[in-house]
Amino acid sequence: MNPIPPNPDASGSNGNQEDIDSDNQLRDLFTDGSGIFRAVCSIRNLPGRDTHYQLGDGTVHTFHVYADERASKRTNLYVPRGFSKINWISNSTVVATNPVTKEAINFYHVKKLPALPPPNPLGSKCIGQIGGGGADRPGDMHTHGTLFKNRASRDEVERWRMEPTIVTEENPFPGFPRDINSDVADHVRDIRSLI
Amino acid sequence: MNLISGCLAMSLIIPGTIVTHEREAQATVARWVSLADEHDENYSNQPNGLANYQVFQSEQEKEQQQQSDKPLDQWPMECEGAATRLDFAVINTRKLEGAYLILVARLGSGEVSRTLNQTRLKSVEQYLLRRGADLKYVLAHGSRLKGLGRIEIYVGGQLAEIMPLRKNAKGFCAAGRA
Repeated sequence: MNPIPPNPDASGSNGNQEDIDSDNQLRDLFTDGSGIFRAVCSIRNLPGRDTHYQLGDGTVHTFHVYADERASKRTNLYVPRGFSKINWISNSTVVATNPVTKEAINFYHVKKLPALPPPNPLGSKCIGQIGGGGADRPGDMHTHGTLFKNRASRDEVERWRMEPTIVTEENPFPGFPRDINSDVADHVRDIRSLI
Repeated sequence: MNLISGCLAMSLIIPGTIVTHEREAQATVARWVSLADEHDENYSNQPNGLANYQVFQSEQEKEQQQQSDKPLDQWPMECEGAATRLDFAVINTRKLEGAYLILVARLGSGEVSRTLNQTRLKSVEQYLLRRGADLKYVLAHGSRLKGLGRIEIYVGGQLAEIMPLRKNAKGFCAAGRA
């Protein structure tokens, strides 16, 4: 087996126990309890600034799920009970909507399973595995999720986020997608509200 | 600059410029194509579930075998993997007083475009600039390699990450569709 170094995000946390506990509760909601959940406790967060996971005001909108510290394995991915409307947008993108609250979770890099296991102990429903298209390289296997106010917000923000990847005369090569930032704060919700 | 050790055979160094504002792509807003073909699916209701599962298991085993055979520096890094590495490189560079973040682009086998390294570095630079203007960085071209081209990240003079790219790819991210 090739030596796969620890993934810098999966293998470390900010060390704040309250943040770690919060992410662990979300881990239990989104996995069978065996995965690694990175959101508020990620080292990628910088207090007071918009980052990949959170806004400068502290709203934690995005999360990653890993199976192990090397991000080299897959684990089943579950969606909280209320998010009963599951839409596969592409081979690896899923939007789960809660018909009561209207909130929507967008998942990237989900791998389809031919048969789904029963719900996890918290009643979350399995939708596939982490490490689908765009995140299937050993060392980077994960699923990326964001909680949106509703489906329309999801669609609007994702279109905006992906604009830098579209090649045009003014943009001759595909850039990195935008991170969600304070400009679109109205469209996202704090993932910790699901606990 | 003593951070650039002799082992880096650099052909050209582009000074890193400090810019305060991200240059936004002026792409025309168009509907993301994948939004158009959404549909509901329930896999537990699929027929031939057992047969599908056996195919799935066989694919998983094949994939594990590939993982053990393929060196990681010959496995192209995806968009988000590169973004994660760049974020950590910025964070770790800021922890070291006076340190530079150095990115060295190297062409791989079968890559002949003279502008490819520059395009790749530009893409990565645009991402770095989103993380603030206080970062000191250097972009450089290195010697050609066998196999996949790459961008190497050096933090405080130490090799921190190797980010391989698909052959002739202009960057780590796939082109979106208008």
